[in-house]
Amino acid sequence: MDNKFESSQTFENLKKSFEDEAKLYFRYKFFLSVSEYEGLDKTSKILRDFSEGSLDNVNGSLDFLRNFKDPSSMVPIGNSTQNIASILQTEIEQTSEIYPQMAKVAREEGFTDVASWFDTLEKLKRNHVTRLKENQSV
Amino acid sequence: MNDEIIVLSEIEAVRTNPSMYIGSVSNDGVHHLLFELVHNAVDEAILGTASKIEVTIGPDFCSVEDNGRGISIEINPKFNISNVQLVLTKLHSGSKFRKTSDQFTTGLHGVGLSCVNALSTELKIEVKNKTGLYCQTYKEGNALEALSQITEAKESKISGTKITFYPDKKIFKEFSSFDFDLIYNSIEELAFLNPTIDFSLNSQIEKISFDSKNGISGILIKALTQTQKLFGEDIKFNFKQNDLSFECIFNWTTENSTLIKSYVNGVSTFLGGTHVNAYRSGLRNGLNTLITEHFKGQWEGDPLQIDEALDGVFVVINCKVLHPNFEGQTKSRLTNFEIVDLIENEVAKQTISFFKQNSKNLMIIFERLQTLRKSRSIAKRVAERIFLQHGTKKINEEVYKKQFGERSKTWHSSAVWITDQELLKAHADHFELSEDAIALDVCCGSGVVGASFKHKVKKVIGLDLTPEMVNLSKTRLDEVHQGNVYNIPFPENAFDLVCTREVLHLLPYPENPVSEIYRVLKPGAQFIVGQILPFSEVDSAWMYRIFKKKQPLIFNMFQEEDFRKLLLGAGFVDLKMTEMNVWENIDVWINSYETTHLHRHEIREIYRNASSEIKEVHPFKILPNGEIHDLWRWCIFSVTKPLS
Repeated sequence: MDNKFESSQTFENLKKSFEDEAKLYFRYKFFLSVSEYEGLDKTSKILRDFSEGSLDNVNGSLDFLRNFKDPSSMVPIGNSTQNIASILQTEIEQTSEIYPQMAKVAREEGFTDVASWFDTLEKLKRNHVTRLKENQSV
Repeated sequence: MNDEIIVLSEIEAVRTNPSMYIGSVSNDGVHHLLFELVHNAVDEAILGTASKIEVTIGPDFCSVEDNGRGISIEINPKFNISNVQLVLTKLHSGSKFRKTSDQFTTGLHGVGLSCVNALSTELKIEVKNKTGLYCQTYKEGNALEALSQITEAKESKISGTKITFYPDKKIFKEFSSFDFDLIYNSIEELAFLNPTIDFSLNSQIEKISFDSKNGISGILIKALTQTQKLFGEDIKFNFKQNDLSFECIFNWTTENSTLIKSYVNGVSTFLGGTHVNAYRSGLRNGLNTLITEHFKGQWEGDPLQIDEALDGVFVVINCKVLHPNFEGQTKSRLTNFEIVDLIENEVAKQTISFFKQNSKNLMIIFERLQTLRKSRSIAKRVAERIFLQHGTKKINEEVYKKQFGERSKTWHSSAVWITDQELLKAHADHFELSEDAIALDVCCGSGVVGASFKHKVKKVIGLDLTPEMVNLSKTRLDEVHQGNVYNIPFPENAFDLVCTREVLHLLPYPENPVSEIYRVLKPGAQFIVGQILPFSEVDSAWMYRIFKKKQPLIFNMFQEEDFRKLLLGAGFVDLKMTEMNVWENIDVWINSYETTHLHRHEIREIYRNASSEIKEVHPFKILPNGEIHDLWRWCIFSVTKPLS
């Protein structure tokens, strides 16, 4: 895999497949809870089976991408030191820019409960950043 | 290289990693050992070879005795030790693993007996059979001597097994004594499920024999003591077919919650499973058929939903399945698909038959379902109005009035914290001013917070938006006004104290009501406010989801730093905070008007699926019967309005 791959449509498609399958995994899980509540055992089984399958699909795309770049942070997937650095980058962005900005917008738009949710996530991510940094220094 | 490989004996393996075998080394783990022994004895009785089970609880030991066949004392040719020693020292060595029996035993307890032995400082086993009484003692899982005969048989018909064990406190570090109430309730339940077995429970204080002649009706009667039944006589369904025996007893109640107690082969399946879901679908299908046949034109909208059919139902389901399959090791959810259609069809058929024979009851249930459908559509409209509130800085008073008006009917029983005396005292303890102070309890609810200051101040005035709450609090407070905390109907500098509790998270733009509180306080006056807060930022998102599902009016999940900023940002000074942890019964807390049944289900799932990261910072327990108890961190703040 080289630069040609990075600029290819296939690379973009793998990223999209990774993202869509990851989303699908959580949608299956979420919908499973509803079908279990409704007592629909057969539907629940399908959703449970598919959610488990989706994980394989997510990992399958990552198997291709791992030799190149993490589709979220765009830094290479490598050993744990590199991977923690990659995750750390995402968590720092979330806590320092993304969630504060999202909370601000939500508050301006009058969605104060959603703003509080983003605030909560921002603080959780702050904790993650601390723990990841401690892990790095070990 | 070979030197580095450690081969543990089975007993050592259990002692090294006990949680892997029994789930946990908390007090639950200790009781798990006891119930393994009890269930082994029950299985012996189900096979028809025992009729009595006696449990004795001592200060640090417990014994379980049955009058079954007695574990075999023969020497096992393969291992060259007695079968008694084999089942006490080898995992998965119980005779039930052979699966030769066609009886409805729970089976697969084989891992238990050796685990009980491995995790006990001392274990004594006594076996009676036609030749005599035999005894053997173990220490930390290892036999101190060979099985020996103590006496010869006086009467050849007497047989049985008695196991006495002392849980190892080196492993169960939290263990101090057995929980009598837990054991009592569990054995009582087993007695109702197995009415042909005589159960008794001995403690240092008393000996109890259980009267279980009512069978599973006894479980329902106990569950119904706190509520009112819709029908005078409970409804019973049952049938047997091939590998399945099914019985259930139920009634509708005045509650808007559902209580399902389900069992498979004598074991509680508190997470339900295929047998429970089939009952639910069957009941819904049966009622839908009756509605179509008898009330055509009177029923509006979609066919009856499962949660509508089950609303207010208290049911005990007892199922016997020849080869039960469970999800996970705790046997809490049944997964046998082959029984679904059978149960669903039978329950539907028997539902139709019951109501056709009881036309008066059919009318009653139809009216109840119609009322429920109507109130749910009102609740849906209220929920929609909460979302419409977005984008405006004014709160929709009607939404709050509607919800708290409904909740005022059962306010004090809707959560433990509301009337917890220690918690109320923790608020009152912050008071530092003189006895001639005038206090205002804002969003006072039933007035319990304001009332906790009554002996310390001259007068307590209440303020609440909801007329029903105003009436409720009038019995406790000196005077109560109806009004909005965003626009407190009092002049500035009017009060020496303002108190409130668990309110500000329900209010969008909480800085506005806090400023109002600041305005009505005199310089030097105090604001005392209690709030449930997450233990740290780690459990806050998890708590947010739980609280938002419970109460759609939640607008803020405060953390300690937010709350401090909120108070200090309004201009208050001299912030002091005390903390108090209070256990809350989540099942009671979520049994509330504003929490939909789906949300109740999802809240329970959030607890059950909590990550280890959450469990490390936020204590909660899920009891063997599925009940959830959560430890809430209450923070009580006191701040002062500066003198200048």
